[in-house]
Amino acid sequence: MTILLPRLPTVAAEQMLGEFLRSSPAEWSGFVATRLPDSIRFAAVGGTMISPTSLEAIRSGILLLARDCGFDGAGKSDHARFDADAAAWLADCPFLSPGEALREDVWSFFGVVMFPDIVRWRFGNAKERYLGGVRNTFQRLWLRACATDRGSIVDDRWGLLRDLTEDAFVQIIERPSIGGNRILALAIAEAWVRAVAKFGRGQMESIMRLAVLRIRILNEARSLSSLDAKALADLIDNHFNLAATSNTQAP
Amino acid sequence: MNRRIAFPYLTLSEASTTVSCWQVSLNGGPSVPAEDYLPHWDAASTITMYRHIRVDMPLAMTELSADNGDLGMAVRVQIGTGAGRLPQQLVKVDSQDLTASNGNIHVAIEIPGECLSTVLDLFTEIIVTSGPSNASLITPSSPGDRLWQDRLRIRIEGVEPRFPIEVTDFQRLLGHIPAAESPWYLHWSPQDWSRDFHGAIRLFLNRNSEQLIERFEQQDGPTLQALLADIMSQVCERFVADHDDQGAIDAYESGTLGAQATAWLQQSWPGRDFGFTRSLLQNRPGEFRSAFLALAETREVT
Repeated sequence: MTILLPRLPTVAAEQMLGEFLRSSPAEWSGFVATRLPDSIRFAAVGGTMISPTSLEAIRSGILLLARDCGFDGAGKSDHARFDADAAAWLADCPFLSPGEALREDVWSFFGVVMFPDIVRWRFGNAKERYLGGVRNTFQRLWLRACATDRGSIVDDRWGLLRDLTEDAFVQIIERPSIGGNRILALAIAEAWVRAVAKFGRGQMESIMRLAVLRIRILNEARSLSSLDAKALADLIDNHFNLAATSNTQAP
Repeated sequence: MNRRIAFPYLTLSEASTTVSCWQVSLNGGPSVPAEDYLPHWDAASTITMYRHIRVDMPLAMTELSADNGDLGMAVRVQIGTGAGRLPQQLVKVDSQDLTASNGNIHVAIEIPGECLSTVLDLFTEIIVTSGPSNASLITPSSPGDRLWQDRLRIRIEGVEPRFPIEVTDFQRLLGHIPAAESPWYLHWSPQDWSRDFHGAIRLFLNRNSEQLIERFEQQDGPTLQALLADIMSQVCERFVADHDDQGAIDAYESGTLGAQATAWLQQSWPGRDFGFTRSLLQNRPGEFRSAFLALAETREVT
């Protein structure tokens, strides 16, 4: 049975967020799973509403990871490690079904109601990090975990979450023709790691952007995700090589 | 076939490729023709999709100039889901080879409801799986070359991907500000032009503006024209002001707010470059806005 998650409509989310951002961190009343805002909605049918206990479990799980990475004054902040750990945690979370987790209003609930304190620690007052969308603090992590999951039988299942940079993930997840196709997204992420070993991290932003642009254009005429894994990896590696060459030739 | 793309090789025509409409069955019920909205779906439902594809293989080989008849092809269906114009997530892929002796493919795909959200996206393609032994320069020969494609998007819940419109109480929505007395209000933010258009924008009609709502429901021409022109001009004026060059504009991916603004600008001034529209907005803002009033007369948003 699908677990139905709370949905926070956009207008209500923006109003609540406005109030949160106008207040100091100490003024936030905290998250109380048994007392959700009036504007919260659930799907009418098709599953079971998530219990307050399960909501508390999500809150506790993420909070633990955040504190381990410096949230709440617990040492130096390590945002990149938090992102990697939280992405894997969310992807493994039994309360998040794909259908529910693809809804922006669900992630608005995460950002505005359940975790505004962690979003403020991670990104400050940037509204798009609280509201649902590909830049929502938690939605983007769940999407990147889904896109770069190597599979449960692989030893380093979530290694790409650790290895890729924020810019690399943006190039994959914020391009629907790539981010929405896990075959292509995973292949590009793996190729990015190989390209880093070859060209170094310093050049990767421009190389990645050019390579992804060309791959997107090619994918319009050619079904890249239909290729076998080796052919797809070779093709993408070749585009990274070409992008690196263009990069070195640029004035 | 997608006419937006100029394929650098030969593709299949309707003469060689016959494709049935999609049939849909909900929870094992009778199959019916799929339409753009599937009622009664919920996350506990199972959807089964059916389709027949028949490729006249000898004719296809002639169309593709694969003289020896040994071009490998397959029918591939990608099932995706998520709001927006492109699916946010790939749910399932079904692939079946076409052979010289069998050009008939029966597609039957079962999709569990818990994987789906808002829209069921069915992308069908016929692709090359292996190149021919003898080919002309324009014979498709690389694995993955797309020879035919179509896409069906079925809404399974809610209002998307139609233009989001809602009648509401403006005092509750906006509070006690001057805008709360207006007949309509476009809720959007220009902070992220890469955001999906349907998630980025919503038109609210004031519940107290009964005459406007009545005219809107009756699809009164001048009323719709004024509303649509206001939407287009709001978005495009800010879009032009926010951008400096053509390159940045071309980078917006289909379905985004930026791409929609670009499409409206191109429809208003076909063939004119971005510098022209920028200059027009700066020097003749009245003409700029009136162009959208004219554009709104004969078209729908989205």
